[in-house]
Amino acid sequence: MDQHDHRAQNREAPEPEEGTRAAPKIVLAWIAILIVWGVGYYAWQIGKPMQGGDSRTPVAAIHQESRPAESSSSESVEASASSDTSIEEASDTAATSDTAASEGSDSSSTASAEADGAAIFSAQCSACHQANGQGIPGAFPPLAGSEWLQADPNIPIAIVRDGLQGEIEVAGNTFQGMMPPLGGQLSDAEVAAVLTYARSQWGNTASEVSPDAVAKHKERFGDRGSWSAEELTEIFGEP
Amino acid sequence: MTPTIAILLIITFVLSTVGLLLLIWSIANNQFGHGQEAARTIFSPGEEGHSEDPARAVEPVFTGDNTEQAAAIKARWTADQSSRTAVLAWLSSAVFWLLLGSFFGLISSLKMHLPEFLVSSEFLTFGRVRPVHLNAVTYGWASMAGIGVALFLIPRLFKTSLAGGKYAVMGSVIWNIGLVLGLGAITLGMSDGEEWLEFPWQIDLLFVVGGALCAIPLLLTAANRKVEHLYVTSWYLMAALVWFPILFLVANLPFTFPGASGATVNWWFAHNVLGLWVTPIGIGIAYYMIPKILGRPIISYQLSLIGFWSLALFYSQVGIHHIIGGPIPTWLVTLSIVHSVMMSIPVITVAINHHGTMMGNFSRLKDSPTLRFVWIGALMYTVASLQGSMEALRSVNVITHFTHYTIAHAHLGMYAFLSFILFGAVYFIMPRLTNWEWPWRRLISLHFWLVSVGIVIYVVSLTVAGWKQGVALLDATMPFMDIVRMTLPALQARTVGGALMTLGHLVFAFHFVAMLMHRGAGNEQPTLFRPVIKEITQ
Amino acid sequence: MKRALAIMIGAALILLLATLTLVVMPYLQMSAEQVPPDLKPYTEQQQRGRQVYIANGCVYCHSQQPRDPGFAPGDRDRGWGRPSVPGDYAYDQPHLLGTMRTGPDLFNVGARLPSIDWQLLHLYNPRIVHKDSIMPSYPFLFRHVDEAEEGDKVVYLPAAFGPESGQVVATEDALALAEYMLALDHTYPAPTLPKAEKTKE
Repeated sequence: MDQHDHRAQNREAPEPEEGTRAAPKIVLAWIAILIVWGVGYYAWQIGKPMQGGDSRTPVAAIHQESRPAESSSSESVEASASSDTSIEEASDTAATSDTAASEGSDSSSTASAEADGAAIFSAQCSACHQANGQGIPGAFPPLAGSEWLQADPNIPIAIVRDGLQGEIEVAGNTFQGMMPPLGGQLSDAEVAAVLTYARSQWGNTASEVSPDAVAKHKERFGDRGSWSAEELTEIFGEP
Repeated sequence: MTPTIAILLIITFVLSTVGLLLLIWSIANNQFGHGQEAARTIFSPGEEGHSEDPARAVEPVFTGDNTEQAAAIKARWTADQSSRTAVLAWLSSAVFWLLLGSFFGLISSLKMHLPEFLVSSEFLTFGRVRPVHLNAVTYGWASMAGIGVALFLIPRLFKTSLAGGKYAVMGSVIWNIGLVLGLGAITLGMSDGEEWLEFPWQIDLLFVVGGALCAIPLLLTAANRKVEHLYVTSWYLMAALVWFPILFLVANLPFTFPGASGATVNWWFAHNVLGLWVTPIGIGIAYYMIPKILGRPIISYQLSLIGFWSLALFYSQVGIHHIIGGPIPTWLVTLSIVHSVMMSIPVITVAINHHGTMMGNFSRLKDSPTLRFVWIGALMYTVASLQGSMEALRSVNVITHFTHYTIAHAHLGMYAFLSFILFGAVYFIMPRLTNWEWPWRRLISLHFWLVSVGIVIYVVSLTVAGWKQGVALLDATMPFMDIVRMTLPALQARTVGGALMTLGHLVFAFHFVAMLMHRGAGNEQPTLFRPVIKEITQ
Repeated sequence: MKRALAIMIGAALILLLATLTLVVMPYLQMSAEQVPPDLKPYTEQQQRGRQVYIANGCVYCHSQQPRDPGFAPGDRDRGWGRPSVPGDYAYDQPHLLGTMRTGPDLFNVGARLPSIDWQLLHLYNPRIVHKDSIMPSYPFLFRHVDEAEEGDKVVYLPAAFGPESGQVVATEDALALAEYMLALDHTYPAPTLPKAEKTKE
């Protein structure tokens, strides 16, 4: 054998082996401790639900801290304890009308509890119309200085509840496109609150909108498809 | 969960754990019965060891008189020769994929703070380059280097020539084809959609074939072995080679697991790629390299037993900690959390073995590249795993889930642990296969410092940012965009860290090729961090 | 060989145990769990959109699994919706649960952002909507034409982001992806979420 060929193998230590030191007692103690811990952790989890996902807390408990009451859901707050279906309706409302956490969402059981207009705006409107109400040029109209928003309340109520489609001129600029209807997701009080908010922000100076006005609009028009700018002008007058 | 389920889980848990301990106890006792003889058959009689000590002037140890020592050296040499072509095929491929994977990682990192970077092409959109990075470094670099090192070690451990090495070479070709096709598919927008399983299942078949082509020679070599005692490294390697094919096959079955149950399979697979594929390879390599370089035995056979079998039992069931809080049964999440915490047992036992063996020998880290990379890797295994055990607790997970913290943890494991150990192994193996020494000491040093500084920056920045991100996500008063802005500096730091790591890989790859091509002056001495001439007192 | 075989068989058996607990049992339980009656299968267009989502790796930044408010209050408070249940994913093949929230959870994005115009605009270039967004732009999902034809879906862009001349039109893939986004609405009730005890006060 040419020793240069084996140069690397030459200089090695022998193949590794295991020594005979016994496992330290502390390791065995740790194992025992963890077995006890494991049993305890499993036992501690007794009572957690089998279905629905990990660490799900009962729905009614969540509902306590959920979205503000408006007339319809405050009834279901009381009714929820006695009926399964209304729990689901209530939680349905809670989920769909969720907003960023705010004090306004502490459930006061009074029927006329405040819906938080600013929070609703942030959750539902700001994505397109932007937090500063400026919209996105070319794409989404501004709300700041919008003649449609500040007109006869029926106009913005109609737009928000039923949606808007087609060409519209706002503050001198033309926009195309489609605003989706939000009536299915917002209660009367919520529509009123968010419009009241927007009509008084960013220099806007229009009057408040009341939940009654929204209710009246609902009675008059029911569930319908989106409006066009022409239709709104025809029925409610120029903004 | 119902008391019934809890009791069932508790019984399974206690039975399996205690049963395992009993098994280990009986093996340990049995073994000690034949302890001395078994130990003697590991190395040929009369084998003397001396560690690679830079102070020793290198004299030919082989004097021609000591036939037993000569036998030992010949045994190593024969083993190395038998695996040479196959190992070089797998290692060279791995180095290539390391480079490609690193570049795609760097591009992904840049895109996260420069979102308009390379944005016009669909082939380079973030959502494609990111999985290319992950799959290239996992199935390209880590798996191929792991298989290459395993192909080197098993003949060594069994003192038997590798049987069927040419099948392993063929396997590497097919595996490489699989990678090209798989990564190409992802780039073209064809993905099977689940993390760690993106390769279209039709292409996965190539990996099954390629892998089988090397598993069989390895298992045959094991069957032919000439040693009685199985050293701990071989347990980890054999187990890894059994586990990976099962995992890969089940997880990639198309159309079998829809919906939420698909998620449990997904994460059973993905965590077991880490726990039952690359981790055993990494730990096994460390178990070989540390005592080999030091010329000392691993301190405790009992601890080896505990470490191996508890890893098998616990690591296999931790996967669901990736979906804590998700649409998964609570009992299953709890099971994974318990097993994640139990993982501290194998981690601590392996740590005592690895680091205990190092005690009194830390000065060797100054000279041996292999030891430095491997031992730091072993230390990072301890750190990353203990971190993982804590991360699995619900109270911690509620913060860290969905954040950059988990990415940092993943890189602590896959890179600081596994890749460092693979680097160390490559530095050890190549001189034995190429009959050449690493040409430039400074390049090894440069590689080491680049990747070390790089990974520290990477892990620290993303760990801190990820934690803050997680805390903020729990509190809705902080708008989402504010959270994004808050993480930006860490994302930029990650690019810096990643760039250093990539540079380090370029140095490593260049040096690797130079080694293959026998470039440089052609030393007789091993290439160590400290030059050989330095005086050392023994 | 016997000992080596013992190790390999032992290892395989242990993995089998893990497969039982992590794959088989969950599959049996979750396939038996009730699918919410209000969940509808995806339309062909939505399914196509789902494929676009997968092809472009949206899952690497977005999750689709709000957590329980009792566990992680931020998820619901951010408007991401009620916690999801296994049945919600009955038509998801593969699942897209996701493990990163570089971007927001999308489980109910169709309820939060029901405007297809918004979805397309945001997809074209997220920075039009959020100037500091780090989400990539997807210009390759759109076409630049001189003049839109009948039936084309035009994306109206601010001058700063649009082309110098002509219009930007959504491709079929973009439309499908946007439809998929709109389909992500799981605000219907989930019958398998645990109900509280009926304590009457």
